[in-house]
Amino acid sequence: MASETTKPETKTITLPHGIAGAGLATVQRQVPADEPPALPVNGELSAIGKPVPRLDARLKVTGAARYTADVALPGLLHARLLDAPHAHARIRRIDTAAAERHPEVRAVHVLDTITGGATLRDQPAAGRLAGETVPPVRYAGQPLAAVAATSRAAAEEAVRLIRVQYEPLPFAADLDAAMAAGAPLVFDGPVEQEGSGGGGGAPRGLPQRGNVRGPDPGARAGGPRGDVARGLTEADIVVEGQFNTQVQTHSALEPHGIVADWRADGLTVWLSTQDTAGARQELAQRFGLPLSRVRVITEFMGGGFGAKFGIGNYGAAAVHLSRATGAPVKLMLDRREEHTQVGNRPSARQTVRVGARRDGTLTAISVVSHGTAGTGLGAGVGTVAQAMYRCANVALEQYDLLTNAGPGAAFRAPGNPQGAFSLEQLIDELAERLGMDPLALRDRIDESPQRREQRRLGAERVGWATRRRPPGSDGGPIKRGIGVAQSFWPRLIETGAAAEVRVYRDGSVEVRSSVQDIGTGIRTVLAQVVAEELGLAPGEVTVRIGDTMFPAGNGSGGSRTTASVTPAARNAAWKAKAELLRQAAPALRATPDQLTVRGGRVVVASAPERSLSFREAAAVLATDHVAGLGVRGEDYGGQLGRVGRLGISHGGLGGVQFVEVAVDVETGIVKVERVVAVHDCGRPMNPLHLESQINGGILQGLSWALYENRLLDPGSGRMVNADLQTYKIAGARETPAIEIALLEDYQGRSSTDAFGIGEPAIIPTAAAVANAVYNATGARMRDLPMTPAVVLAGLGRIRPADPRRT
Amino acid sequence: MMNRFEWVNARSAREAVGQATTTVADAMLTPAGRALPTDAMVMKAGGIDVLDLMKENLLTPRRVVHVGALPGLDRIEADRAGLRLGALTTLTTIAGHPLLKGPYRAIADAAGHIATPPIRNTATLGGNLLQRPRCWYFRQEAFHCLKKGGAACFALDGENQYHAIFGNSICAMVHPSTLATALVALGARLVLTDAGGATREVTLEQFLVTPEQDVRRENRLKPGELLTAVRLPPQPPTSRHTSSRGRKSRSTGRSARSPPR
Repeated sequence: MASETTKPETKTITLPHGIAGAGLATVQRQVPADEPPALPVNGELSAIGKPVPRLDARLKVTGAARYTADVALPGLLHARLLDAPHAHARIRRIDTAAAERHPEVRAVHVLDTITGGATLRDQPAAGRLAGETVPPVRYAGQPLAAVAATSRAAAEEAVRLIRVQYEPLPFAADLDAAMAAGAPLVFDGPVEQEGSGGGGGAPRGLPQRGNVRGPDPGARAGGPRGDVARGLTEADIVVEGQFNTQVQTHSALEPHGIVADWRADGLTVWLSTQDTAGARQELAQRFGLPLSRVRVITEFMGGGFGAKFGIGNYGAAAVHLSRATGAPVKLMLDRREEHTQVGNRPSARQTVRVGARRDGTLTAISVVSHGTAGTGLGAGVGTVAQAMYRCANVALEQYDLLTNAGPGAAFRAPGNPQGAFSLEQLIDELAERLGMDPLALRDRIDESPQRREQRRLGAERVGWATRRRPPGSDGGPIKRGIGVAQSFWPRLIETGAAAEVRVYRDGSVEVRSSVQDIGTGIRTVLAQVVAEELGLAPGEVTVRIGDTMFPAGNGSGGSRTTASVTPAARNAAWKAKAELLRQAAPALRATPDQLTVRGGRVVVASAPERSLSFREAAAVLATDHVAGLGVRGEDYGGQLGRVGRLGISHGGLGGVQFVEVAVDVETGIVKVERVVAVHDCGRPMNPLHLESQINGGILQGLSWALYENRLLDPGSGRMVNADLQTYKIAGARETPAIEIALLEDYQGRSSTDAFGIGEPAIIPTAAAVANAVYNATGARMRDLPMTPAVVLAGLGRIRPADPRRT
Repeated sequence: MMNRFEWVNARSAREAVGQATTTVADAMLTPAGRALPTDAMVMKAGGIDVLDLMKENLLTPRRVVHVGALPGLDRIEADRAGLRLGALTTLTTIAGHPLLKGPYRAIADAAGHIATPPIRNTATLGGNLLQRPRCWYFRQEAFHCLKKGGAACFALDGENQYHAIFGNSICAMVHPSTLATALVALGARLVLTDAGGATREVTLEQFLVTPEQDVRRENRLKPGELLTAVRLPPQPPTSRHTSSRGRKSRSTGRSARSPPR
């Protein structure tokens, strides 16, 4: 039984406020009367904030955890996609007859819509010639059709039997080609693209000329303000530069995949998704089904990084095939398809200018960026320039270049690593030109109390004052240096995210929500939250998540999961507990408000000798179980604003990373040797999982900084390194020593006061590496990835290579 | 994904050479616009390269003869003529072998740097020497390059920053074998057996073929020939060798300029 939701009364509670160890105080907030009392600081808790190992660790390492690829159903068919070999082409004819005749083939589906990129503003379904039934090919690797057969091998074989008559068209696969006069048009008219549940996309209605769309003034997180021209004339010093960053593919270990099972009574899909509830919504709309007849399940997931929102072309194809055959259909993408058709971090070419007075005060920040998300939009450079530092005059001009390349998608802090790479290098340069320590300059211009404390802590750990030397101090060919850079990410929440907590008559406890664990550890954190509220151990709580049969939780993007679903779970546990205590009170000859739970017992607070075990208390329940439904409401004390279904909390998430490198100036090889990272995420819920995500953010950031690069063949537009052998990702040998410190930062914003960490952790890494390379060598690295060729060119030892950017 | 094929577990070298009649290089040649030959009978040992080629639809043999279980070819022995390395010795064995020290150290170093531990556990010395190039154009079905019987090298005007900077007049491939570099330096000789049971020995240097000599293959392996061993002549006791590569980063502390930790 879920509790009835009524318009809540409010009450006033006193919550911890401030940074533990650096001015912790309290704050009073009006909160809904049906939410629990204030949660004390972590030091006073038994489950929350503790390094509880993942409850599913054993399942994962033994292979027992069931991922989408592991789902096996009776009569399961296997599907594969036909992908276009051309970067730009019209399709004259698709002949599927031979594929359909294949003895093991059960159905063939030709895609009539391509999702994942931008669509024409005026005729979203069009862009076709009269008589064409399929959309044109706009990038090499675009899916066209899918085949379902009794085995994957047969499906693969049959895909090769589909005959397509293409009319290849001229294409533009990189920035310069797309901007050139007379460039082939990727789309015939102006386009739009909404962001996914993870971000990305671009504002509606911006001007578009040819393949160039924009400018987007970046009206978010403070947005443009003041008069940059005046700010630059008021400056005593102006630093500026052009920065190039490349396309990075998400490369989650688990590929995108689906098992679709269409039945007369409804559709069930197993999907590797960051948003089960969002996928259910999309499936219902796309296939004309009521929400009640669509179920989406994501038991376990091997990463998404922003690319796994929605059902994708592969998902739609699988559902069509299941409907056509009356059988469940599995479609898992292969690594080439992962690299080419389901998203990437767009490229950026930024010209950034920062003006400052002699005392360091910033007078102007100006950013002009051109980038490409291929056939998609969303190549802006994020919110760093608007929000990191105090500056009265800020202007952004961000242009999306449409190219014949795979569409971008939200990728871990969309835009912000790119924005940090340029701004944080210029702040470093500004400090040097002003004769200031880079940390002292930031103390002057950065208003964030979290980052101030993080700079102090990090500097101490890395030995900034004693070990950092002037640029290029080392004599030999190996030069070492230390650099620093900072993170900014908004605090995002999804209001309405829900969870249910049940206490069964045998004393067992279950928390249920559709929220999915994309690898971050929320499954374990939910157990901690419920255990804390019910006085149990985390291992005593059964966590049922990743299934839309349960109350709809949040999508996992924007680092919002912990902030959204943990308050819902605590609210639910508190309600379930209240009902349990109400029913158990007579057995203890007490009133419910005299009871408390701790150490696995229900106790009369004033007479602790009168108690029942949790199990004994539950045995008195009149029904099979009691349940509480909890919902993430608006922030306590109000919010900064909203974007779509997301709320933006006051303040921002910080993070300061210090990086030590060794640069071989003869070979150009950069080795990151050590990273000290200090981050904040509100109340830290589980240091093990937080550190794990910070490790991941740093590795993905340094991998982008030094290695990863999607390379498109200039002659064909095809990606040449669409595998994990030639697409270089940092591995064990490239992993530095990483030391992490976490702030306990209380803001009194919800019943758990927790926020996320996934995105803040990647934002400053590449910039910090570049600043460390500068400190080592005295040369600025303004292009990514910092391959030996880029480093040697930066050192003036070789001519810069042809800067072909994709 | 692979097409259907026959699988033969060869029990002797003679059986292997009798059952496999085509080199992988020949089996991958096709005129423009024509389907790949489907009558090829090829050998595989660890299968790291051959199975990869099959999965990418670059090789569609009728028969695969597995030579990985042939007896006696998976060990390293010392004799008066130097060292004899069986062609089925895995890279893991080579990387940690006690005989490969002093003047032979470069071979162990090179083997230890290749790919990843699971691959080194399976990949063999013979397969490493005979694998096809890693060029990303060659490895994609959509690019019908010179090595596959096509008319052009796509790398010459394409994405070629990791391709050959010498000997690239018609094809810019880099020979894929890390071990070959060290073995040529040490004067290695290959032992090859043919269908008639005859063996021949050839130096690795003479065995390898440059693109200018024959763009369609990387070596002089004949159809129906099995590489059984690599012989290393004795080295002067004072000679010293090391192997190092700059890939993503310096990967060990062995090379002179690797930043010490």
